[in-house]
Amino acid sequence: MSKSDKNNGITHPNLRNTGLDVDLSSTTVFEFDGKKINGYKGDTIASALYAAGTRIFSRSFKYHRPRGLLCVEGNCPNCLVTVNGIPNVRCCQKPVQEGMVVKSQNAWPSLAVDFMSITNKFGWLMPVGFYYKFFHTPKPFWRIAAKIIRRIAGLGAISETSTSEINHKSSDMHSDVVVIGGGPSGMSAAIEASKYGCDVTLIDKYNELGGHLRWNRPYKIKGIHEDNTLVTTDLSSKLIAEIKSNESIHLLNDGFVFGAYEDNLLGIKQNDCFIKLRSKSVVVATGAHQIPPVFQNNDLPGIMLCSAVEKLMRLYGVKPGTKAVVFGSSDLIYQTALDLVDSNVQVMAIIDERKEVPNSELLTEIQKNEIKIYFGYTIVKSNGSKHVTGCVVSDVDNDKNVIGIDCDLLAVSDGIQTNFGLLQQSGFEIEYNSEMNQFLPGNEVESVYYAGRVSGSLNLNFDLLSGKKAGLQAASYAGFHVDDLGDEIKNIDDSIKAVMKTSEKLSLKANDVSSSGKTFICYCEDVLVGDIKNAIDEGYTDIQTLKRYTTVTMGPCQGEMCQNSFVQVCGSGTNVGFEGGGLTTKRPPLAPIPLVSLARPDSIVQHLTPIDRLHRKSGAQMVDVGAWQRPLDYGSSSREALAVRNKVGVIDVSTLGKLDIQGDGAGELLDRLYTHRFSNLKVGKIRYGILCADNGTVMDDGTVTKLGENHYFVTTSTAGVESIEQWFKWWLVGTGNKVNIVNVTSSYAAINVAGPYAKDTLLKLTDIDLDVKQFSYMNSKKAEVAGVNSILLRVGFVGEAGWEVHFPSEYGEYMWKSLIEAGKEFGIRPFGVEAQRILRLEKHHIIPNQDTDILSNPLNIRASWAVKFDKDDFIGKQALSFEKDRGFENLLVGFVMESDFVPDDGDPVIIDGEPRGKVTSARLSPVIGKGFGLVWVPSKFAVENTIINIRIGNDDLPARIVTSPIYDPAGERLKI
Amino acid sequence: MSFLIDCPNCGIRDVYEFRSGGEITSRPGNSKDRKLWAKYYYFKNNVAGEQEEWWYHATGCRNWLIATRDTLTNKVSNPRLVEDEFK
Repeated sequence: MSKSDKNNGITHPNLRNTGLDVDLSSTTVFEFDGKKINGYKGDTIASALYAAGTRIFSRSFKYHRPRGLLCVEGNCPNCLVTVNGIPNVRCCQKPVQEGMVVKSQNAWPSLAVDFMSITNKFGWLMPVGFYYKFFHTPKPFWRIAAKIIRRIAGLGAISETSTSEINHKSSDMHSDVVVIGGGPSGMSAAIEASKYGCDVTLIDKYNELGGHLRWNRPYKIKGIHEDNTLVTTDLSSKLIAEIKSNESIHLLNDGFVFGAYEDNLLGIKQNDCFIKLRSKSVVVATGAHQIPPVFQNNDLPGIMLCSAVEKLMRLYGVKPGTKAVVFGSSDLIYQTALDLVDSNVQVMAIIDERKEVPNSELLTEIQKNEIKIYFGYTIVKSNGSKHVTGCVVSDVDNDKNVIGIDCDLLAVSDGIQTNFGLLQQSGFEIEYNSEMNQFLPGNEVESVYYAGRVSGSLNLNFDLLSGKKAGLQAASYAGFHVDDLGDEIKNIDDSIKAVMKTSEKLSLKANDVSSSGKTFICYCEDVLVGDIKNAIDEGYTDIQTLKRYTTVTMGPCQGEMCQNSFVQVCGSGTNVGFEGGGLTTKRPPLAPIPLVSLARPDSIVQHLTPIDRLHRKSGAQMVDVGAWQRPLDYGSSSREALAVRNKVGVIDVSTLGKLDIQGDGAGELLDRLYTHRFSNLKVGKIRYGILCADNGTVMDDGTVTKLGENHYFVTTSTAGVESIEQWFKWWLVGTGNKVNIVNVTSSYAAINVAGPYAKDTLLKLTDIDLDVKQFSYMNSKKAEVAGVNSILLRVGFVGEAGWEVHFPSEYGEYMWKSLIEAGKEFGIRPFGVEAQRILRLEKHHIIPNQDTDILSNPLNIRASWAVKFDKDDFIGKQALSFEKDRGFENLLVGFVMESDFVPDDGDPVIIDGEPRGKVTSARLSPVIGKGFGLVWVPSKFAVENTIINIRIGNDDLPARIVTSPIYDPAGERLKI
Repeated sequence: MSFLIDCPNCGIRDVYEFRSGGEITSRPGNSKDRKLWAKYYYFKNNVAGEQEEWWYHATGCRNWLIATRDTLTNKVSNPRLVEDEFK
């Protein structure tokens, strides 16, 4: 408790009453801004803090005004705190835990004394959009101002350590019927739906079922029992017992549905768990919540919604104040007043904007307690600086007739706002309904039904009946048989009609809202009524632009506190009223959800090769390549590269995409897909091929091996095989060709053995003749290697004599060990992806999407030898013909640096001071000891020995163009 | 995007199991008309309403389907295997 609170004359209730939720026999101690606070099991942080005397819970966004509890429902921004390093937690929803560390936000040095509250005095200097208006010119000034503004603005600060504390569990669920909301209508719907045999999931945002029946004052319900003796709490207990004993109903407590997506997919946050729930039909029974009225100083601590006051008393046993004024325009406020009396709070007055009360029973009870009622009065302003000390009320018809009343608690309710967000997301148009005087769904949506207070009623019988009807419809839609569905629904509709005749109606008020002083519409972003009126005067006359300009409904509450008032002020300011203005849209997420939960890193599949364990044991540094993890190096990529050049190296290439293609039309299909020709390939031969899109762009490359008549073995790049398989199948459909395409990527492991001693190494493990005369470059043979049936492909990606050994992946580790053992005497060394990149670059072998982009085709990467224009048709043929006729603006060529610098991949080529090309790959060559690589340059520069400048950092450094590979341009090494 | 597609092989599945192949177009084959090729490759009809589309069941049966999708509501109807279409 701070001194200033004492000065405001607040006495704190030290004694707790019994509440429904708290267990007074079990204390829980936690820390708030460095002080130890005693709470009880079942307390939320907010209820424990309030009971301990805390009244200021946060400082507001812009003016740093003190803010206290307002809604106690997880809607408003007033109780945002940092809990164990996680910012912006609504402490009215967060249960206390022993030892948790809670810190206040947006206040320095403390909540009680916040230096930034000076902005409150200069509010007239800061209208909506003031940064843009005032710091607009001169331009450099904005850069400085932006830094300061960004530091001042915003709420809790995120820290790197806090994010790791977020536990991101996730799960997927399915259900026939989902009911959202565990109040009377939701419970009624779940029970009804379960009668027809469907699986029902009931999601309730609270820990206990019952909805508003839990915290509202119990009363006898008319019209359900003939003797009218059933009390609301008994009804609630009865429904809860029925649900808990019903095995078809799966209950999700503490579950908040933050988004409704197509085909009834719901995003649910349940504590730290993110649940995706798919359902056949949905019942939305999300209810409604009270909203605060708009008057001067309506944001002072001590001003609370009636429902919040009732929750503090009934759920947590906290005495909310000592002297209360209750204000509103519905029968609800009388119930709150009676509850306050029961909690020994002195009720100074009830201010009812209506001129009379229809419920005479309530009136009698109030009069019994001798509470003064001001009929036809409204609240004008509240007094106090850090806490409410009183309020001023005036006659609705005569604003000269003003009365001041002292109080330390102002319980307010300006009617209710329905929780229509999920309905809007499900496709309902929420429109102004003049009969109900509320915003309600104006259409029907297949498979989604709604019930209870979200339909705008305040009648319990209606809640139950509409719940029953929705449950019935949902079960029927989900495919479960309901006898005489039409009759059943008609009967319910008749009952509803009868009920509604006597029901109290909600009202949206259309009276003009005063804009004097600090009259808040939006608590989140500190937007005043005056700000909105100014914005309308500035020309923002549509609710959508007004919303974006003023940011009303865009803060943490997402419009839950301000939507109706905003529509009202907007409607009256633009003279269109409720009907014309429309509503803003409540998009998901309706409540904050950590991005880490949505990203679901636990669901990302990582592919490991069958040799993975051995790589890690050898100390390989792993790198992500597509979905795979591959060794980047085993300590030194340059030494690994030299080992391949001078001795022998092995690399795990199991990640290569591999497709097995068989059938009569296989050759024809490959001819159509690749730019090269394959149908004339002899059995046992290998050919390199490029895949193009129909616009001629290079998509992928790889080798095609003919294993037999109508049997081909295709390799693709590591990341591309899924899309290549898809691509192959797409061009196959509709051709009538009988071809089977099987993705054998993970069936075969593959190891590339390369280097001058590759042959000697392999000869120790196989009987076949590897001599170049018998087994020349670009040929394949089936053979046993170390006793394992394998396919040997003699290819030369790294530029040395070598074989890709493809074999069943079960033998991965065995084969790797056998090769290392066999090559020991020749100095064999495993090499990683980095060494392979250096080696292939020395040979100018491209890697698609590293060296190519959307403008690259086989011709401008200088691989026209791989394009057979004389083929009948192939994918990309026409586009490549156009390109060929047009000539090439840029070409991909090699370069060698003239100095000792090595560019980075992506460094620009500077010609006449302009960037005119870019380096696609660059490395230091262990063979020539210089930086080199591949580069895009304008065609006229793609000539041997031309000097270009590459910008490395801030320097333009010369490089020489080379059109042939820098290593073994004639390919002699492949013939060893 | 969370709609469902009823795969003729696998049954009702989440759209995330599929890859979209876009609206069905007709390839100009051996035509040398550049405008026709540009139209085929770069211009889509972008219908606001029902259109015929390619869908590939990537994490299911790995088959191509054709389905009708309403681009306004994402309701998918009449999914069928492509072999049936071209028989």
